[in-house]
Amino acid sequence: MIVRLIHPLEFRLQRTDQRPKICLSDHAIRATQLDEPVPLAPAQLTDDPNLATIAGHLAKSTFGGALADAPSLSVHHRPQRGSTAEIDYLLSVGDHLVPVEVKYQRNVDLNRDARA
Amino acid sequence: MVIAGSSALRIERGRDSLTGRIHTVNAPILSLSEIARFRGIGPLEPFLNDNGYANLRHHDFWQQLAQHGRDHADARDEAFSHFSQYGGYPFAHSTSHTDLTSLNGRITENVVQRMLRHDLQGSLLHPDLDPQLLSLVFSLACRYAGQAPSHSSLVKQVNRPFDDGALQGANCMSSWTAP
Repeated sequence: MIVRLIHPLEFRLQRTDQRPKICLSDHAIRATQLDEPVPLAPAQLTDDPNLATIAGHLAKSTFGGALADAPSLSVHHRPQRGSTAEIDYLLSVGDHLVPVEVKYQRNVDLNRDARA
Repeated sequence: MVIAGSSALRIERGRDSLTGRIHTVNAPILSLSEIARFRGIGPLEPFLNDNGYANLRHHDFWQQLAQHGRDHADARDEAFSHFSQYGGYPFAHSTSHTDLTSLNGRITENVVQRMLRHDLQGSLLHPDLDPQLLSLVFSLACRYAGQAPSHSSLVKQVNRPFDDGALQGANCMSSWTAP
């Protein structure tokens, strides 16, 4: 499976934004299909800082794609809703929900970036 | 008797539905520790065991994972650098020197075209898929990787090159994004 759709988690049967998050199994597929290689390694990104935003999306895609392949692990995301901030991924492990925020940047502000 | 195959969508061509007798085995791309092993980097042992997902719910696990990363930073960064440049398919790391042109050709032929032409178009689930439309939708999926684009914006982009096939594009996108 080279494309995975991560669907939003439904809370208390409330209707949420139904947009799935698109995850690729490998960012090299994107580079080949669009003829647009985007490196992920920080050292390679310094050559073209404009690609940093796309690299951030690809980091989220790679993380989601890897987890979607994991057996016995349910993966969702939570889109922004009103004043409730978005959560990149929600992992259902048994009866536990583990929120995961993927930040692909040099400096992470835990107060600001992990608000959700 | 065991019947194995990677073109799972074609299994419908058989007379038997095989309900309850199908098991999917996912073969994901190489992990960083596997890339390190392929390229002789390391040691870089995986921190998460194959059946260790229950540990994800423990706060300690994430802290120890971060420490594991710091402890093996050199090997991790070198393996990640190769992953960054070549991706995670095994054939990208089977030799020490990877030719990017050849790699792109193999990914196009063995992964992308195989899925678009053989698995999806050949499937009885979607016998009417337009190859051009399919390729366009796949390109959009690549373009929006890691994001959750709205249905309407995707439909708009799909329909743009298909003046006469707007309805077909919209229908395809509806079935594609349905949960």
